[in-house]
Formats: sequence, structure tokens, C-alpha cells
Amino acid sequence: MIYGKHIRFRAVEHDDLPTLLKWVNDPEVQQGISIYLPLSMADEEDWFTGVRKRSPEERNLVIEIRKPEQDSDVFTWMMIGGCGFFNYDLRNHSTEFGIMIGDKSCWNQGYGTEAVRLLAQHGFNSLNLNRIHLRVLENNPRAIRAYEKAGFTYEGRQRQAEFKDGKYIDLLVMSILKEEYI
Amino acid sequence: MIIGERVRFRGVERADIPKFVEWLNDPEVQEGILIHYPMSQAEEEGWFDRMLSRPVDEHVMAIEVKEQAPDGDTETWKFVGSCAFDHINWHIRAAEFGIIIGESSYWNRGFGTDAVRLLVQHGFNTLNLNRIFLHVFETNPRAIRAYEKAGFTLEVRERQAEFKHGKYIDVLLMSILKEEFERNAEAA
Repeated sequence: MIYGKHIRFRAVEHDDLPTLLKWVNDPEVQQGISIYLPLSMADEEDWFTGVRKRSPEERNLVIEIRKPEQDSDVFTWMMIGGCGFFNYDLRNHSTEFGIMIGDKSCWNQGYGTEAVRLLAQHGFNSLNLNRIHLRVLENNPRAIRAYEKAGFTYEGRQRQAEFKDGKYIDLLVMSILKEEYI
Repeated sequence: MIIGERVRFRGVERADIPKFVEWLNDPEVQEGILIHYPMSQAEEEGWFDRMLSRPVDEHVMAIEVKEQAPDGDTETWKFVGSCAFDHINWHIRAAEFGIIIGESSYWNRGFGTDAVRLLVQHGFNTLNLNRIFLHVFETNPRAIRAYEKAGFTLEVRERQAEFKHGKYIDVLLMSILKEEFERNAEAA
């Protein structure tokens, strides 16, 4: 388990699949990700099997937030999204990552930014990475702002590298280096 | 066969493998590519077999340069390098490519630029692509210049994305769009 101030990352469990499926099929969530076809529970099962075959560093994580129980000192943890590294390059100590806050009631509350910071901390301090980068759609200012707040720098623009709603749109590449993180 | 004015592309044959082994082990050639380990004939044979099992539009093509035979009349074609599209995304109609001119005596004579132009033409006019891109090390000005001459634009500087000779270097991402290719063709 990887703990931040208000959030934590845990491994994906089979029981998470129905929730993840609901999110990736949500048109509003799909605006920010690369999924554009309806996904079935069977697809989601295949994805889960695939995750477990990936190297440990690249297995997807579930993002949870701490929720105080009513009239109590105890906390429960509520799943709000997922994240993970991919295109992990061992020799160059470099990786790409993806993140999704699927629970829309948790948007615009800083959880995405905190999750990105925690993922960068995990990448640099545990995995010994030197470079972490991401690609984000140009029409997703909320995400771009979160990456900037988490310390990411704009590197460039992959022109017409995505197709959504009848037209080509650009993908922005952003990154953070270990020397910038420290 | 894909035929240009000074260069042409043909399929790579098993008999070409020893040439690839020679080129990919040349330290000067290795400066510009991802290979950083000694390459054996056996590994290269494995690469060839894997290549054949990939989609046809991603098969590696041999680059040949047109030459005059000593008698001055007949044309001969000299095998100098290879190129291929990679990660073709048919939904986005985008593809990456890689290219090497392995015969170093053919460097600095415009053949790389010609080959890139021919590959781009094939990508837009035959494969119906909309976007073609490539990655190149910042330490390879000759290649960068060839891509610029062939109409490519610098899009992204991926900072410290590659480790070579004891330090991190930047990798440049360059691209050309179909609309730019058509504009260049009209202007020419």
C-alpha cells in the first residue's frame, strides 16, 4: 500500500471490476481517456488477467480516499479511480503513466493532483526512476492544470495524434525529471 | 517494389541478414539507433522471423540506391539500409517509422532524405495515413537535418529519455501531417 495525506494506492482486486467498468463506459470519463468503444465485463476480466501478467512496477493501482465514518474516529477507504505506469523502460529509468478519477463526485477537489504527486513520489523514491511522462488531450484543461500543479513541464505537442468527436486533436506531452522532483 | 528516383524499397530477404549483423554492430551506426549490445547472426535471424509474423504494412523494407554498372548502360541497385513503419494505428491513421543507412560510405549524399521522402509518400498515398512520426536522438544532427529536409517538424523534446555514453540525452519527436505533405507536393 502506498500512502499519501488524503489518499492511498492499493493493488487492483477482482471485486473492483464492476466499478471500473462503470467508469470506463461513462461518456464524461471517456472524454479524457483513450477508450472509445463500449467495454463488456468480459473485456474487463481480460484486462484484469493482463494486469497480473505485467511486471510488478506496471500493475495498475486503485486510488482510494480516506473517509471518516459518521460520529466515529475510524476511517474507511473509498475507491475513486485508478492509475499506473506503462511503457516502463528499465535501462533508461523512464516511464509513462495514466490516471483516471472515475468517481465524478470527486472531481475538482485536488485528488487528481495529490494522486499524481504520490505516483511521482513512488516512481522516484521507490522505483528509482529518472523520468516520468504522460500524454494528455489538449481539450482537457482540468487534467493539464493538475499535472502542472504536481510539477510537470510541458515538453511538446503531438499534432493530430487522437481522434474524438469527428476531428483530430493534439496530445500534449508533459514530464518531470528526478532532479526537478527533489 | 516501391520505386523512387534514386532509391527503391524491396522486401528484406533472409540472405540480407549478414549485412544487418555487420551494420548493427558498427559503432558509428549504433550511435543513431536503439541497439546497444553485440548483435549475433542468430539474434538477427530471430528478428527476421518475428518481423515476418507482423502485419505486412509493418514489414521491414530494404533500401537500395540506383547505380550505373561499369559498362555505363545498365542500372544496378545497391543495398544500403532499411526502413519500416511501426505501431501503425489505423484508428488514428498514424504510424511511427525507423530507418538506417547502414553503409556508411553512402552517408551525406542525400540518400537518407530520399528514402524518408519515399517512405512518407508510401505512407500517405498508399497506406492512407494522416500522421507520420519518428524519434531521433538530439546527438544525431545529420538525421535531424534529413528529416527537416523531408518536411518533418519538431514536436516534442523528450528530456533525458535515453541513456548513452554515461549520460542522459534528449530524444526528439518529429512529425509530418498529410495536409503538410500535400502542401509541399503542390509547392514543388
